[in-house]
Amino acid sequence: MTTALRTRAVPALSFAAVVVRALVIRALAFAALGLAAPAAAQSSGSALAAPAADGPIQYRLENGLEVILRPLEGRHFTALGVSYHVGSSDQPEGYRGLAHLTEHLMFSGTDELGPGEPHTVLEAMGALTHNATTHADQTVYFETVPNARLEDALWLEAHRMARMLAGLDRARLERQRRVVLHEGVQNGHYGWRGRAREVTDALVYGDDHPYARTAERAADVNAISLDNVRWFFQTYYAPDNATLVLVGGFDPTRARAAIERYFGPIRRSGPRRERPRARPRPLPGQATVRMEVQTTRDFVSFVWPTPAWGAEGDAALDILGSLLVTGDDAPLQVGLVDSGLALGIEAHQASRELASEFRITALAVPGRRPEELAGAIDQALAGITGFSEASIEDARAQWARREENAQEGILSRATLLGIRGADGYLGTVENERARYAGVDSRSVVDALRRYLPLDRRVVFYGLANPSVDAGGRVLETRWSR
Amino acid sequence: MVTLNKLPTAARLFASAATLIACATLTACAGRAGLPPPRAPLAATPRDAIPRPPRPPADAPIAIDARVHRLDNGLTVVVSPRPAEGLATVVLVDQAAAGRDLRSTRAVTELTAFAMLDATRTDAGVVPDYARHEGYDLRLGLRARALVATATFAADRLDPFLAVLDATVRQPVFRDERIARLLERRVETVAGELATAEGILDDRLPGLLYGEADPRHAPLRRSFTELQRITPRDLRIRHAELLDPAACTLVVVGEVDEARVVARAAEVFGAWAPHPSPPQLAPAQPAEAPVRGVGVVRPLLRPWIGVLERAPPSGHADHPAFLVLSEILGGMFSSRLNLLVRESETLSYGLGATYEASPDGGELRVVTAVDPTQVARFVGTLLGELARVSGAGGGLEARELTIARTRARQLLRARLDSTAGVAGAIVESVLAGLPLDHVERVLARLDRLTKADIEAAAARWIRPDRAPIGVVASREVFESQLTRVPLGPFQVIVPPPRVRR
Repeated sequence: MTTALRTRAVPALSFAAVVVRALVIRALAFAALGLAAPAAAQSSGSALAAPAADGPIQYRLENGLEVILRPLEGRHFTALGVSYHVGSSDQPEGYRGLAHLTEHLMFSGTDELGPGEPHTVLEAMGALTHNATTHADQTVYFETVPNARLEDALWLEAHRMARMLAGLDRARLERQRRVVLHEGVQNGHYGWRGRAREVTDALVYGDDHPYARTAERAADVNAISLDNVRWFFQTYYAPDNATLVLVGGFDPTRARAAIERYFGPIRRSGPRRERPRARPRPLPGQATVRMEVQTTRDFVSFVWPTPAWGAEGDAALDILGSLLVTGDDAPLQVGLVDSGLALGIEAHQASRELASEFRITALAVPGRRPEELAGAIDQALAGITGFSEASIEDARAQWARREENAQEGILSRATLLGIRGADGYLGTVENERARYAGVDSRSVVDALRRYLPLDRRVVFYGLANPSVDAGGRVLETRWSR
Repeated sequence: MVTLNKLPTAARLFASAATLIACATLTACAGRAGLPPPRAPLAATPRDAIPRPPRPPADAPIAIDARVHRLDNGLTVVVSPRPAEGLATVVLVDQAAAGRDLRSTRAVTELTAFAMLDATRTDAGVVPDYARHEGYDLRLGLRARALVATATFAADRLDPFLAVLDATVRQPVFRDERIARLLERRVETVAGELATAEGILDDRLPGLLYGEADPRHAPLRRSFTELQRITPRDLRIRHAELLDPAACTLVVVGEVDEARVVARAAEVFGAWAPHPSPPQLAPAQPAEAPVRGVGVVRPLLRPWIGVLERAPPSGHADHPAFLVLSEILGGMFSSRLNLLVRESETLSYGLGATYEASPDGGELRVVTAVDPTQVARFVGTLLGELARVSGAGGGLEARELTIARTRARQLLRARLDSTAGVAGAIVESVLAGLPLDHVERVLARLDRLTKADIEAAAARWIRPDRAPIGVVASREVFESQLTRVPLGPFQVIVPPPRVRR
């Protein structure tokens, strides 16, 4: 569910952003990962642990709920996030959309709250932004509330964690199914973009990997039963599979007591299930896809599976994405846009828990073939021997500034703290800034050579055909090994 | 232009029901195995295990604490110190650079702003992207009455930032080849926007509300034409008109020392010579459109529908009422239109009603995409609710008024909870010529608003029988759906099938 507020149109050059929509959302939340040790203080006892060096307070309730608190002086609002560590990658095959539909049903009420009433309760307390998003690895419920109403928000989150299933009936399921289908059509999940993502994911990760089944299907959504939702919820929506985060102007002592009061009594309703968390296998060669799509311009996308969020190379690939396309002498900008081949070009690393993706997408100038663009991208990448310290510094500063801009955004900070990083990493503002400090020209070039091999990747040619079927038409899929 | 009832009936390319079915069957449920059954009880936590929260305390008071200083050359400095985790936000408001200045086109002024960030003459020579090079994320935005430059950064870097800001706005280097590229990108962006349903609505709807000469008319198609005529010389001439210290206000908010900010501002900006060049603001002009609505035929899976209506300007007595009214209509999920069209009738994924107010006027806009088979029903529902909030047929309900008032209050309070928000609130007051504590006054007014106040304000501004409507949809929707709604004079445009430069 994304906000019902008005959104801006997708500009022409956003194929990558649309195709890997979930990834990009993640990339925004997963701003970065530092290699530094977590700054959080660990506590499992009753005493309130002091934050270490401005880090957050971190502890677990007896029922397994992980809690992260980051009080900020002088703020009148508090952002609250509940991250359930389950997402679209946990959907069994044939149930694509189950995670998303379950997310919607969390707003459909409980045995005490009527349909849609969670929205009303939140808005009546003055919640500013309140919503939820389903990603590949987790589902996040979030809201920003006036400090004085924090207890109300904690009650609501605890109550629906404990009692959503007690109120769920067929009428609520059907209503939210229709809303999810509306969302899917409106956001292009069931059109050529969704199909392109399915095809690409299967090649990048292999059919049996959880990341190969994150794309939603309308037919699957239509087939989900009440019992399917109940099983999914009982398995994954439990305190020992969730992280509660508060960031803002709350009083930490009072908040801790309230969290114990509302979340402490919650018990798991179904057996715990281990999530398959295997890293994807390396690509055996180059896969090429040609697909006719309902656009007006041809494009080419390269996709590489890359190190997971926080793994070695992740930060360097973030910086590489900036260096390839930003600035007067950016290799892809010079080689494709300045040369008149492409109308625009994007390159970015989208980070996730098990594996990330590095994508380069170029939109062809009318009359130029996408194969020409692919050749020019290869030529530009092969020609890179290093980057000037000035441009590295520039890119580092750009990423550091992003953190600075995000610092005032208590909601994005809360969301980031709720995401699991490798080796217990915590996405604090301080850690995020530190993440880029160690990146230099050599590590960027090393990451380029190691993780973006020209002979092991997925190449997707989008061939513009405004009159093709809405779902597009795959003309060819082949491997070169 | 063709009228609705003259559309060729054979063109049923995107039959809406068929489209939905096709979407649902694009891919089969491959490899589906049964899932385990749920366990009993469905919820293991007893209902009474989680206590209800106590009655909440009142909100803590929140206010803008800002002071105004004026330099000898007329430049105004507003400083608002506050705890901010070591951050500061700086905004330079240049009212000599209005977007609605008759001396130039909006496209030229906008591109001048873009180009000002592109390269700067410094003691070390010409530096591309100077602010970014120095580690600041400086953003320039053109408003109807000003050019606004904004950055948020660590407060201990305020001193160097002011020098960077000064150089960026005063000493830009307009390089011909870079301007050509900026123009090319801008043209491409506009073409991209015009290719989307929302872009088409943005482009067409204002023309139903404002006359050709009104600065708010500003169709994207016009800027497309204007952009193609711009030369680098236009930008240099425009830039020379933009810097009058007496028309500029520097706003500094965050963890700063007030006296030090004023001293540093005088050091950096005190040398700006007075250069009076007041903008000639284009006058407002009522709509001359002979039609109530406009439709654009596009083969979309989801038709997009927008309604744009005049609303009170930011300083108007009806402004607080409209903050509440827009929340009631389509603020968030529990708003009237969302409860109806999303939760109850499930016609749409959701919709937003936005109220934007500036000193020159306000607009209330409702935009959404709907089920193609339900367009007529949606339009009827939408217009019915617009009529109802403006007093006819029941008016406002007490509960929705309470929720909407609370949300409107908290949205305003939240603006005062960050350096960027406080700076933004101060800038709005400066641009509207209102007191710096204007937001606090609006908050107080919100608390006193009655149901009758809001209904009276709605009745003054909203005209459900005439509110301009835009539709972007397949030909089938126009034929099968919109002919069933009495919309009055309606223009349907069939654009060429592909957007090409």
